[in-house]
Amino acid sequence: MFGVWFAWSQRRRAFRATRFAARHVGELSGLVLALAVVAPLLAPGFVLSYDMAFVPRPRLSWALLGVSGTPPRSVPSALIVAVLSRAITGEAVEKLVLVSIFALAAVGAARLVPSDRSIARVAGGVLYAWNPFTYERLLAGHWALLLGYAVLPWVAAAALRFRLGGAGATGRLVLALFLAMVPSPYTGILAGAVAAAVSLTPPWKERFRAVARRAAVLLGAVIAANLPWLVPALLGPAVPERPLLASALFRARSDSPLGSIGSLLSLGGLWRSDLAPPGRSAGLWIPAFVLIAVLTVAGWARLGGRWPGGAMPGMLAVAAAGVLLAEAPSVGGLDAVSRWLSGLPGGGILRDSQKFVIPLALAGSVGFGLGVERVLQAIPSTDRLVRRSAAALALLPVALAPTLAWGASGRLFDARYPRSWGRVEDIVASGPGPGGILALPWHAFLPFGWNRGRPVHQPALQYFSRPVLSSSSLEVGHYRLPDEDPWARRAAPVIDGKGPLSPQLHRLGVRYVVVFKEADWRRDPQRLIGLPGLFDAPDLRLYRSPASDGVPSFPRPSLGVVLVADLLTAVVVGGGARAVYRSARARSPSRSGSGS
Amino acid sequence: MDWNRARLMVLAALLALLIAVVGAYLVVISQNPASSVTGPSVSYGSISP
Repeated sequence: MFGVWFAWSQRRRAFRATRFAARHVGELSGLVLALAVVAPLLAPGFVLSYDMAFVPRPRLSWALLGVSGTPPRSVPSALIVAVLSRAITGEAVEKLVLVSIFALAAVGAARLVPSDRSIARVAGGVLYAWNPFTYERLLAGHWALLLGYAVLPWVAAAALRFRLGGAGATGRLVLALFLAMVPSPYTGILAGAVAAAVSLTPPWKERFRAVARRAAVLLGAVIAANLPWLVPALLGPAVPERPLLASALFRARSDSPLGSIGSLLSLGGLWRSDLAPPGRSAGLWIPAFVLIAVLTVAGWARLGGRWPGGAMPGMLAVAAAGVLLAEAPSVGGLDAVSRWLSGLPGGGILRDSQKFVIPLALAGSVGFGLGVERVLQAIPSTDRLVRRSAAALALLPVALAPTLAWGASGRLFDARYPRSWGRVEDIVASGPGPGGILALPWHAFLPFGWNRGRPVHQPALQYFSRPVLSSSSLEVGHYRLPDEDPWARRAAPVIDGKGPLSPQLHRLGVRYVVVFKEADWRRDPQRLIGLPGLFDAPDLRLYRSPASDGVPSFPRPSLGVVLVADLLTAVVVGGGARAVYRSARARSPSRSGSGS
Repeated sequence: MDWNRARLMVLAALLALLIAVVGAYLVVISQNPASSVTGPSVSYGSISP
C-alpha cells in the first residue's frame, strides 16, 4: 500500500516539476545560461578586466551624482554600486551584476518573442545573451553597457504595451526607461530610440492627435528618466576632447573574414579585435551565422502579424539605423559625416561605434525565435527524433561564440586585492590633514601582477577613502587622449615632466603618494626622494608629502540643481511604479473575485 | 516551410554547432587563453589598422 502511495506521489511530484519547468522555461534557461558563463567567476575575489574595476567599499562622494568636472558616464550606476557595496560588499555586487546581465538579457528577449512554443522563446533569449557582442564587451569590462543591454528587451516589451494603451502601460514604460538608464547613459538613449521606434512608427490605428499625445508622453518619459545624467552633462564644464582621434581609434573594426559589415551583422566588430572570441578569424562560426541569418529573416516575415502594426517596421528601422551608425566611420563618404557628427557637442556618444548594433541584436533575437518556430511547426509530431534534435536550433547562437562559456574559457578570472591595499587605507584614513592620494605610475589603466597582468582601470580611485589623483588619459597604442579629470589635467604637466615631484605636491592638494610596483614604476621613487616612506610592501610603496591645502576645487555643476533633477526623476519613476502596482492589483484574481 | 526543409535545417544546425564548438575548443587549447589579452601594458588596448 505504501509502495503504491510512494510511486503515485513521486509521479505527481515529477509532473509538477515538468509543469513548472514548461511554464518558466524562459526564466530557467536564462539562469542556466547565466551560470554557464559566470559560474567560475562566483568564487571569492573580484573580476578586474579593463573597465570592470569593482572594489570592496567604494568611496562615497558628490561626484557619484555627477557633481564633478568629468563627464557623467557612470551616473547613477556608480552611486548605486557604492551604496549596495556597503550593504552586501563590492564582491557580491559584482557577482550579482554578472549573473543579472545574462539572466535578464535571456529572459527579457525570450519574453519578447511572440510565440507559444517554448523552444522558440528560448532561442530568442539565447541569441540575445550569447553572442560576440556580449563576449567582447564582457572581456572589455563594459558591465554597465551590458546591464543596460539586458534591460532593453524589457523596454521594447513595455513600448509594445504602451503602443496598445491600457492600464499601467505608461507607468511600465517609465520604469523600463529608467532601469535602462541606471547602468549607462548610452543605454538610456538607446532605450528611448527603441521605445520610440516600437511605439510610434506608422501605420496608426488611432487619430493623429492621439499619436501626437503618445509621442509627447514618451518624450517626457525619456527626458525624465535620463535627467540624472543629462543635467550634470549639460551643466558641467567643457572637457577637452580630440573627437576625430577618438572616433578613429574606437570605430568598429573587422574581426572576421566577413569584413567590418559582416563582423557587425554577426554582432562582433568591437574596436579591439584582440578581444574577439577565439576562432572568430578562422570562420568556423560562419555556417551557424548563415543559418541564424536565414531563420531570422524567416522569423521577421512572421513578426508583422504578431506585433501591432508599425512595431516591427519600427524595430527593423532602428536596427538598420544602428548598423549604419556603427559602420559609418569605416565607410568612405560616410566617415566624413561621422567625423562631423563626432565634433558636435555631445557627439562623443558616437565614439565606440560598435555599440549601435544593440538594436540589431534585439530585432535579430525576436526574428530568430520566430524562425525557429517556423521550423518546429513544419516537423510532424510523429518524427520525435527530429523534434528533439530541434533543440539544437535554440542553441545555435552558442556557435557564434562557444568560448563565452565558463568565464570566457578562462579569459576572465577572480583576483583578490593584496592585504597591502587595506593597510594603506588604514594609514591614509587615520592620517591627519586634508589632501588626496597621488597614484603612480601615471596611467589610467594598470596591469597589476596580482591580477595576472590584466590591465584594469585604476581601482584606487574608488578603493581609498581619500580622493585619489590618477591619470584619466586613455592610452591606445601610441596615441593618448586628453585627461578628462580637471585635477589630473592640472597635475599631468608636473608628473609627465622631469625633476623631483615633492616640492609641487602640496600645490596639487596631495597628502600621500602611493606607488604601485607595476609597469614603468621604477622611475617614480627617484622623483619622490625626500618624502618619508610610511609603508613598503612587495606590490606598493606609500609616502607622505608635506601638509597640503586640500584637494583643489574645479568648476562643476550645481549640487542643488542636480538634486532637484534627481528628485524630479524620482517623482516620475515613483508615479510610474505606483501606476504599475495599481494596475497589477486591479488585475489580480483575488481582488476581482474571480479566484475566490 | 515544408517538412524536408525543416529536417535539413535541424541537421545543418547540429552540424554547424558541432563544427563551431569543436573548432573553438581546438583554438582555445592551442593557445593560452588568459595570455591572449594580457601583457605588461598600461594601454587601454592596441588597435588594428
